[in-house]
Amino acid sequence: MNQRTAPAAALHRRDFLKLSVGGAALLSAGAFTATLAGCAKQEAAASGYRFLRPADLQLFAALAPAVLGATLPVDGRPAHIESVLKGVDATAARLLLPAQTELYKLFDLLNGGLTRRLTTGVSKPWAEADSAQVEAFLLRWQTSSIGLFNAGYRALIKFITGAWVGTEAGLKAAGYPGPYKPMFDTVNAV
Amino acid sequence: MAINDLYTDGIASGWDVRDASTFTAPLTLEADVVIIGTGAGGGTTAEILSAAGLKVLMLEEGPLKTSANFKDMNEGRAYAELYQEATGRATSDGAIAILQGRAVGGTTTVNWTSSFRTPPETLKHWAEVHGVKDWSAEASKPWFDNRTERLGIAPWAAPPNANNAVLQRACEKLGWEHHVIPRNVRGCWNSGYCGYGCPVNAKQSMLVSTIPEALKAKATLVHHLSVRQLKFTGDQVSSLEAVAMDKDCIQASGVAVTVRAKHFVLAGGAINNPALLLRSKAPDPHGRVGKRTFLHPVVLTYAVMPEAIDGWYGAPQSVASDHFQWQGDFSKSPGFKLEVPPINPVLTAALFGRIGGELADGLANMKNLNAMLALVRDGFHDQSQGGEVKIDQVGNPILDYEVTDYLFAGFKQALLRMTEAQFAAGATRVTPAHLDGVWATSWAQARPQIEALAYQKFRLAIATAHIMGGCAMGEDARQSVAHSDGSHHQVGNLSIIDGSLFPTSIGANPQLSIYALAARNATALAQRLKPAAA
Repeated sequence: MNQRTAPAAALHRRDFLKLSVGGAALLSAGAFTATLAGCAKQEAAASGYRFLRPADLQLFAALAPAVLGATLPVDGRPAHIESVLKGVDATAARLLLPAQTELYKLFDLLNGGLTRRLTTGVSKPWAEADSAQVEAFLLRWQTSSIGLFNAGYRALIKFITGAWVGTEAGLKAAGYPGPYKPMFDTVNAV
Repeated sequence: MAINDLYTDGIASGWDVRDASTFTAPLTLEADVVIIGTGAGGGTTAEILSAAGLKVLMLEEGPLKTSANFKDMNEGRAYAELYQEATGRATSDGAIAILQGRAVGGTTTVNWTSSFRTPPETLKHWAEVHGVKDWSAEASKPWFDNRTERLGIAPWAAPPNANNAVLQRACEKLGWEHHVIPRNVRGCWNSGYCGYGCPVNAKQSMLVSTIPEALKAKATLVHHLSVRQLKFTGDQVSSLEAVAMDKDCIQASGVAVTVRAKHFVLAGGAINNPALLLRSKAPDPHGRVGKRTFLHPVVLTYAVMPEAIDGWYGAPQSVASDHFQWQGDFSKSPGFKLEVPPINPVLTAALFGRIGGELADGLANMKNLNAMLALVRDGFHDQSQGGEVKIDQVGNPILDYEVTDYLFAGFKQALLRMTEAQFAAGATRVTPAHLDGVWATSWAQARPQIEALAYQKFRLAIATAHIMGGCAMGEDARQSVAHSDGSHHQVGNLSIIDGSLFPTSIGANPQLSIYALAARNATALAQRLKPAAA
């Protein structure tokens, strides 16, 4: 397979669709994917996390602002992103092995340099990724006619939006006024 | 007025409740009957068998969480602690999100309280097509009456919240059948927190009703305990092997527990029961275990209403419509029941499927959001034979569920009718839960869009909170796993008593269907076991 060096932003949509077909084949070929991604699966979870590995944290830290857009406050953004990562991790850690295996496959695909460029069009590693490229990648996976990309898109954004709205700031962004007060005050009365 | 915690008080008074995560050495437990799972089926069975004087042991993989734990009324905490795979459970391809409880009380601890009797059409179909015996509308009525009384089930007497009122108003405008939903509550505060665990013990879940009664009658409850395998001697179960979970109920702690009993009852639900039978290599001469697993697959539409909805408050489900459920031609597409889900912020956002500006718009308008859902009635047609529960190499359950063109045709009909309903009720704009869905500002504008959508997995959002079947009942052993009374076709001292027995979906939220069938079957089992136990 040829290494692509052209920046993905320069790829035309038609090129991406062609690449998508290759990408879908990678997604469905688990072992191949793991090999390309350097067997990251063996890597331990990041310090303070149960499931997400250091590379996965960089992936989600890059995705979260694109997924959450303006609902993510600019003030204290790193702390908000960290709570999203913690939330994603808490859910992923409670999945059974079959779902966890699929997730690691997806993360490995996204974290491998070649497979990332091929399937997402994002030219640099996630920690340095251009936000416009990240947004373009999500849009492509959302609108792709290939079910596996739609599936990956749904999985990634479900984790991120669920984790975000589960935080105090996220609930506020959703306009939630807080627990039903008469009951909350009663059950929490000393 | 602080709310008494039933379990704090009960354990102080001598209830035998054990947390397996605290076990440090292997042990063996014995009972007349061991019940695996404490949801609608297991809880009901435990109370009835204990009252009959049998020594009952309840095993639950999930944690014991009680009203004291629910006081924070926090959605994220609930999903992490009380749901299978923290609400991340899905079909094997990820196309259908699965909401299922995992705690003492099972899904009854977290469900939205809707309590319907099994529709007579379903019961008739079971008798005619699936060889189900003695469970007609007439035969089942006393058991439905019995459970209705036991669990305080009554049509919701207060006015619907604004979210449910949208459906009610739409049905009135369009002349569609609709009805008030019966709920299993006593002293309900109309707060809307059913899905996070009821903080005032108003919901008559198994957690606060049958399980406490069983404990008072000297039953034992062991939670944080995952049953891995049934052991067989001849055509009998001789024992089971279980493993304790860690404190967070995520990993096994490694401490092994063996249970010996005269009789074994599976009540772990439609995914875990078949997985346990498959792991145990239980007799299955006709390959029926795990087959015919049904989901009431749900599709959704969202509406922004001109008025505040505040769909996070108030009884979550109080109005439903069966207008498209039983009347019509179902040769091309299945029937469905219309309801609304509560606007629980985390769940709503996680299923929304939008990002960036569209997500921000959705969150900013959540206060005015009405969501509508259709429970699609699967299992009643050649092209709807359900999913299949399998296990992976280490015995974890995997649910394959093929979405057929027949079901997609039903989803399309449902999206059309729900959108029509939301506009009839005055919606400002409506969008289907689909990756290509765009907000339409009128029914005329929405209709062609919905007609033209790509009806494909992943593009269309699909979810389920009702997992049924997989251990179908029926009198023909070639077609089913258990008799109509729940007794296993091949194994003498094994019964299956929960929603995994259903040979099709129900056509309504299933909890009361499980309660009534479980009450009948457990009562028969008590009569059968009593002499031997005396």
